[in-house]
Amino acid sequence: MSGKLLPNPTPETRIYWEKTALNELWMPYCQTDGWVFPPRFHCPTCASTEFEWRQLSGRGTIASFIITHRGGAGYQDEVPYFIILVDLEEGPRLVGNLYGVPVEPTAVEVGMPVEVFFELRDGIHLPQWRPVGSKVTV
Amino acid sequence: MTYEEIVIVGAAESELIGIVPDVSATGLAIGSALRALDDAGLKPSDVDGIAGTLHVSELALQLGVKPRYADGTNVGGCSYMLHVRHAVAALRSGMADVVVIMHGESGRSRVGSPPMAMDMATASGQFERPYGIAGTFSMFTIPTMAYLHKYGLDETALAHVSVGQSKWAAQQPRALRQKVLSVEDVMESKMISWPFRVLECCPVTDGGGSLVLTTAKRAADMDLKYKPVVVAGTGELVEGAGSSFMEDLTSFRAFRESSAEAFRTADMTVNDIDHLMIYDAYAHVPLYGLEDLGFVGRGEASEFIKSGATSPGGSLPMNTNGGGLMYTHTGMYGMFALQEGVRQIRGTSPAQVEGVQTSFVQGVGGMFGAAGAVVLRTQ
Repeated sequence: MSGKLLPNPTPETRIYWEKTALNELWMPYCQTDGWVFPPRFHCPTCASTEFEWRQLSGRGTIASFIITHRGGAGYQDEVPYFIILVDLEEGPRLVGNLYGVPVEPTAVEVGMPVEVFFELRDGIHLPQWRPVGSKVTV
Repeated sequence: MTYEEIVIVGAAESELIGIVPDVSATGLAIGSALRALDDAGLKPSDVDGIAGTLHVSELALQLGVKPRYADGTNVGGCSYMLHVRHAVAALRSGMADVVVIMHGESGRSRVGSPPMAMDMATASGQFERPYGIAGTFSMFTIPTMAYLHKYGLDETALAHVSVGQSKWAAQQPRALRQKVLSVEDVMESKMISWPFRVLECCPVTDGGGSLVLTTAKRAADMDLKYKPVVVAGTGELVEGAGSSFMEDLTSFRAFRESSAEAFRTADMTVNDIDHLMIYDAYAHVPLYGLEDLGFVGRGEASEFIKSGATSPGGSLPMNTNGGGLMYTHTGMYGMFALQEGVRQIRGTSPAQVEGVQTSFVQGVGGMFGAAGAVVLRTQ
C-alpha cells in the first residue's frame, strides 16, 4: 500500500474508474448540455437521465497550479510537488499532479499544454499529467 | 413589505483565544455564549433558538436550553453568516424570540474535537483529495495562479494583503500575529504552498464566539450593555464542492451573489459601507472578495490594497482585527469576522475606526464552496 488516499468509487462514478483502469478517460455526456462532471445519473442542467458516456482526448492545458511544500498522506517523501488544475480540451476540469518537469515555478505556466497518463495506485488508476510528448510515468 | 427589525444584542468571543489547551471545543462555544448573553442581561432560560456547527443537540444540552428553533447548517467557515440570515427569518416569523449562534473550535489543541475524517466518496474525495492535498493550504489556494496570470500580477500581490492587515493586527492585543510586516518579511517567510508563504496562510488556533439575536421590539425592553446592532441585510449562496469545481477560477460566484443579495436586502450599495470584513483564510481571498463584492474593478484589488486604502487611515478599512491571517483562525473563522463587525458598529474595537455606521461582513466556506454575507448598521 502506498499510504496515499484512494477515491471511493460510487455507482455514479463506477464507469469513470472502470475506464481509467483501461488507461482511458471517459465522462457522461448530455446531448443537450454537454459534459457532466463529476459523473452522476442526471444532467444538472436539464435533469435528463438519457445520456451516454464518451471518451475524452486526455489533452488539456494547465488552468492553475501550486507547488506544495507539505506532503499529503503518502506524499510526505515527495515534497515539493505540483498540484495542478487541468482544463481539458473538451471543457471539463480535473485536478492532478504534474510530472516530467523540474519542480519549480518557472518550469510551468498557466496555459501550458499537458496530457494524461495513469498512475496505478493500490488497484485504482488515477489520471495524472505530464507535458505533451513526455514519456514519464509514476 | 416592511420587515421587523432584527438586532444583535449580545456578541462575545471566548475569554481566551489563540492557544487554549485546557478548554474543549464545546466549552469554547458555551463560554462565549454565556458572555454574549450577559451583554443583554439574559440567561440560558431566555433562549429558545440556537445555531452552530457543533452538534446542536449537544450545544442545547450543554448550554441548558430546550430550543424550539435549531439550525445546524454547516457549509464551512461562513456557516455563521448563514445562521444569522436564518435567525433573522426565524425571529421575523415568530419561530423564535431569542437566538444564540455559537462557535467553538479547538482547531489547534484538538481538545474534545472529533478526529478529522475525509469522505473519499464525495466529489472532492474522488477527484481532488487523492492528489496529495495535505490541507486547505494546498487546495483553497489552487485557483490563485489563474487569477494572478489573468491580471499580470506577481506573488507580491499576495504579500501586500498580509502587510496591510498586519497594521490592523498591531492594534489588536488578542491577535496571534501582532508584528507589523514588510513585503520582505512576508516573502522571506517559510514557503508552504507556492506562491503562498506562511505569513499568507492563516494560523490554526483555538477559540469561540457567539451572537445573540432578537427583535428590535424585544430588545427595547432588555437591559443592554451596548446599543443594539441592526442586521440590515443578508445573503447566502451554496455553490458546490470547492475550488476545482468553480465556474471561473478568477471570480467566485457565491461571493458575487451572496453579496448582491445582502446589499439588496439592506437597500445599500458599496458607497454606503464604512467598514469591511472579508474572510481571509489565505491572502488571495480578499483580492477575490474586493472585486466580487464590487468595491473595486476586475484585477484592481491588489493595487487598491497596496495603496493603503484598506489599512489604518484608508478609505475602506478592511479586516480590522487583522483578519484570519493575523487575528485568529480556528478553522471556521466566520464568527470572528462577525465579532469584529459588531465591535466596529458598537465602537469597541481595539482598532476602532471613527464613525463606523455600517459594516459589511463577507464569509466563505468549504474552500470556495459557499458564501454568506451580513450587513450590520447602527440602530
